Amino acid sequence: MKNSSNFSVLEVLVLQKLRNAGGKRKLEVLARECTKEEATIASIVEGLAEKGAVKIAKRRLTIVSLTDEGLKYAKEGLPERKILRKIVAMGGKVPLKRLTASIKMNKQMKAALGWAKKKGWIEIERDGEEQLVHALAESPPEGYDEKILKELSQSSGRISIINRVDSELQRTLQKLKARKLVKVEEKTEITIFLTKEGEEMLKQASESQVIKALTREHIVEGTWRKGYFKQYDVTAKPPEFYPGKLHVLNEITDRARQTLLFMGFEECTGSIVELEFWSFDMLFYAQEHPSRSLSEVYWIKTPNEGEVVHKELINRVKATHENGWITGSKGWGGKWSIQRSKKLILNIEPMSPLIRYLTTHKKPPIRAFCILRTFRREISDVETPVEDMQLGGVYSDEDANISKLLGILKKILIELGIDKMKIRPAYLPYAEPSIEIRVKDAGGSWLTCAKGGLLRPEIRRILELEKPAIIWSVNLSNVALACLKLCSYGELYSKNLNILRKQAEWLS
Amino acid sequence: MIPIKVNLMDLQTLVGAKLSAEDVSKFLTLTKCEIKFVRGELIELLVSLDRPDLFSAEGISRAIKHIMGIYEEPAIDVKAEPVCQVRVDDEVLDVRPYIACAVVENVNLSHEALMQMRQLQRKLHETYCGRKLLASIEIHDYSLVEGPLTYTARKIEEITLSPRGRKEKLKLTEVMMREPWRRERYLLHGYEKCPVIVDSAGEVLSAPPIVESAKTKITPHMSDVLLIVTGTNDRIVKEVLEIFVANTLERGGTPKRVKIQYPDDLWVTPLMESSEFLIEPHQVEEALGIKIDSTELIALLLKSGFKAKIEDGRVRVIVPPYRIDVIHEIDIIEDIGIIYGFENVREGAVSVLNTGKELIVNKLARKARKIMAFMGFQEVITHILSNREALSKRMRLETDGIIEIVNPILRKYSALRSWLLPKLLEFLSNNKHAAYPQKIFEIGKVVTICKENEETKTKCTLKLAAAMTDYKVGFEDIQASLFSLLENLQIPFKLEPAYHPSFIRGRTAQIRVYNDVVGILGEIYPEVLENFKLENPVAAFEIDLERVSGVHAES
Repeated sequence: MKNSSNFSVLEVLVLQKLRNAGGKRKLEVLARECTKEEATIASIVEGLAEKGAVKIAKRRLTIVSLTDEGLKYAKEGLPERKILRKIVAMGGKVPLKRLTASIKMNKQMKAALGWAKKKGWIEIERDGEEQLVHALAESPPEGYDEKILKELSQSSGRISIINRVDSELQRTLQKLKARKLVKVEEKTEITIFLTKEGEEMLKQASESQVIKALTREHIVEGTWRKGYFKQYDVTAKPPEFYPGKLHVLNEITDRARQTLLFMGFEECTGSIVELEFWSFDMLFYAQEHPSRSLSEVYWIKTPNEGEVVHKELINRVKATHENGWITGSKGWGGKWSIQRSKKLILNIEPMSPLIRYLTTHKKPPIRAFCILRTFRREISDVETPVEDMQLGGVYSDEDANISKLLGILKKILIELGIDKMKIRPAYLPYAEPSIEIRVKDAGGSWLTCAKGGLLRPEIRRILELEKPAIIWSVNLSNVALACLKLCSYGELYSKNLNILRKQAEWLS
Repeated sequence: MIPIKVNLMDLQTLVGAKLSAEDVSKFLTLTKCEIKFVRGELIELLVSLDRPDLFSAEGISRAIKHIMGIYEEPAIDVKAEPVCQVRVDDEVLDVRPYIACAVVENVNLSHEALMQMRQLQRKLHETYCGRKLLASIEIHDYSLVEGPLTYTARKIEEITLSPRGRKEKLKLTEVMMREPWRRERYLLHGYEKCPVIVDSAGEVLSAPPIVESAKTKITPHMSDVLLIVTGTNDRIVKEVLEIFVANTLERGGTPKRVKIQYPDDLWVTPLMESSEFLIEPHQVEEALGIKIDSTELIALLLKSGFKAKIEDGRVRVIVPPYRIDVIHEIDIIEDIGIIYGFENVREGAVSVLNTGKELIVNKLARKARKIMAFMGFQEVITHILSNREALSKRMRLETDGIIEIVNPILRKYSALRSWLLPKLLEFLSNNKHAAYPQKIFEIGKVVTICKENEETKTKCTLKLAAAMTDYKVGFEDIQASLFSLLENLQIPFKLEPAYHPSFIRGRTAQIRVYNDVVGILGEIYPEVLENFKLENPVAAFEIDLERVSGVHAES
């Protein structure tokens, strides 16, 4: 006997249904009972037959069904019989003209006259100009065709199945089909029988259940002991699964924040939309400075302008820009316009929150930072705008100098996983001396990741800072590009979910 | 950084010594320039924006000679009488009120020298001159100019001249229709008159800032140059002329002054006068964090291109006129730092006084993003730039209250996001073919108009939004995530039925924390999904973290 553990769950189901049906079922019924497609069950059954669990019997069927017209005649009788009755009622011999006048002579009636003649029920003879119709029988016995129609109409619905088809029946069906009274279809009927062996196998299989998913019942009722665990293909590919993931850029930003917090810095925040006053004028950018132009900075349309509320600062900024005020500077000359400073822009640097912070913090030690999205008026290779994640910081104390600045910036960059860097002089309108730190990117070129310097004395004086200050920004987007060996902003700010799902975790 | 091109052979001639590209590169590490690439004799450099005097080979050669210690200052006769006179008419004062001129006689101009002159002119125009709006520079062959000159303004349609590069005389209105002048038409936008410089014969030399006449065009080996700068900013007009004269003199020649007679003022340009600053050595030490004595300081200053001498323990520094970036002692100290080498400055350690202070809202955000990720949501970062259509119309909302930009590069990035959900829906619509279910979230700033905010009239808020989509997804799914998030953050809250056009009615709730409504949650309205070309249902929420942390802290 073959091993019952070879049965699949579906095979066992089929065998069970067969047994419940008393060992015999037609395929279509079986499929319906198993709530599966006929084709599925057919292949299961083939397999079971190979194992000897079932036998399959196939037979050809001719299925005959009544058409609407056929159904009508089955009830009313064939039209040729109707005509014959009429002729008999009119005396057995009638001129054709009279007959056609007495009944509605349509196409079917004309055909029926033909059929009556063919069946030998009537005769048409010529009498001079006239045609006479003769009834040859009063009530001829029921023909084979009429018997079939009757039988069809009596069987449930309008379909009847005839097992064997002899030649006379064949001929009659042909005639009925030609008269469009019946439809004839050919079909193979499959019946499945449960064999003795099959019954035995089923018994075994039911006793030692195939366990696919181990369930609570199996454990609580102990049925797993009698069960058999279906063996899985453990090397097969599993369904795809994606864990929730944090964005690498935010991970880097978060680490930068923690580093600054550990160094004793206080976090402050600022707006994305800022007055030129805080972004440029307070930072001692001359009002004609090219970085302030329409081609470099996004200008806000609505609302069209803001307001500078700090009147004393306005006076100091105006004087410093125009002639240096008491700051020891020459200033920029020309007229400084308050109107220009009211213009609203998108921040290009994370400095304005720090400058605002310094208006209320003047005594050392001052340590503050902010993290802000900044905007360069550029479009990257993938047609996305360039928005940078930037960290701005300020430190004001007796020892605020370039040496201290290098210490802080290197500490931050090393924490973020950067080891090779290059220091270069830089130009920052608000910081002098100023430096920048460059880092090698994936393409091998040097990317500026941080810049900063000593806050210009003009600004320090305007803010009434007691001690010198160093101010800097770290471009975390560029740091991320370098750390992750990415080539473009498009990759860092990816719009593609698959890329984010598969992005390597950032470990520093 | 401004890109400029120089020729190695020309640079050698200017410096007067044999130099390789490597030598140049080495010297430039001690300046605010660097080499971008070298191709044969051509060297492309990047120059820092604050050093316009280095925008040509002459300036670069001067810096190299200073570092090498072989620089010799050109002799300037400060007392010499002006050679030319310019009368400024009242008419021009409303249009382009300032003019400054200089003559450089007997200058040997090679083909390369002319190229450098034009490069300097172009680079100054692009940067300091505000694309000619603030100032524009003209170069004329002085031997072809019939002085004295008049600087006046005439009606645009009445001006005729033969522009450089053309023989025939044209009306200015015609010139302005042609390339390359067409591009500069905007400079006269809103004016009826255009400034003109007219010679004694009544011939138009130029119509600044648009075009110069063909008659006085400079050619190689010509000997006398007239430089004219006109503009709307007097400081820039004067400074640009100083740089141009100083750089031209690096090729020899004698500078001559020009008298400019304004209706109420008199200028004699170029000034060519140095300024002086006093520096104390301790200032340098304090700024850079290094130890340095005054002898060393003097040596560093000389290499930086400043003359310097010790006076009562202080250092007197002479700053040449072309160093327009020096307006304070600190600018000189920076140059000392550059020559000393910032990489040679020892890094100072940061003493930790106490731990810092994190913004409460960021603390909350930090926790929230972890919980969201643990629940299986992928964190995304979208751009703050968006557009009115995506933010409102596609979300079935009114379009007011959105902040728009004057000068967007692309229309689709012409406004600031006022909430996060449209950005998340946009993200989902980009990823219709990625495996489902898709669960995403973002924590980020949004900006809205806020009249109460006196200064910027806007408000910047930190928000959290999450969205999930699958063949079948509903209110309960997103509700479960929100409940889990807020419960884990220990924020007491409740949901109330609400109406919002972007969500399905009866499947929308507002999130209340104490007395404040802090967010919205629900199933996205199918029409909104259609607007974003999404085919699967989406359930989402958005909450204001600033409000949540605010009310939470108060209670």
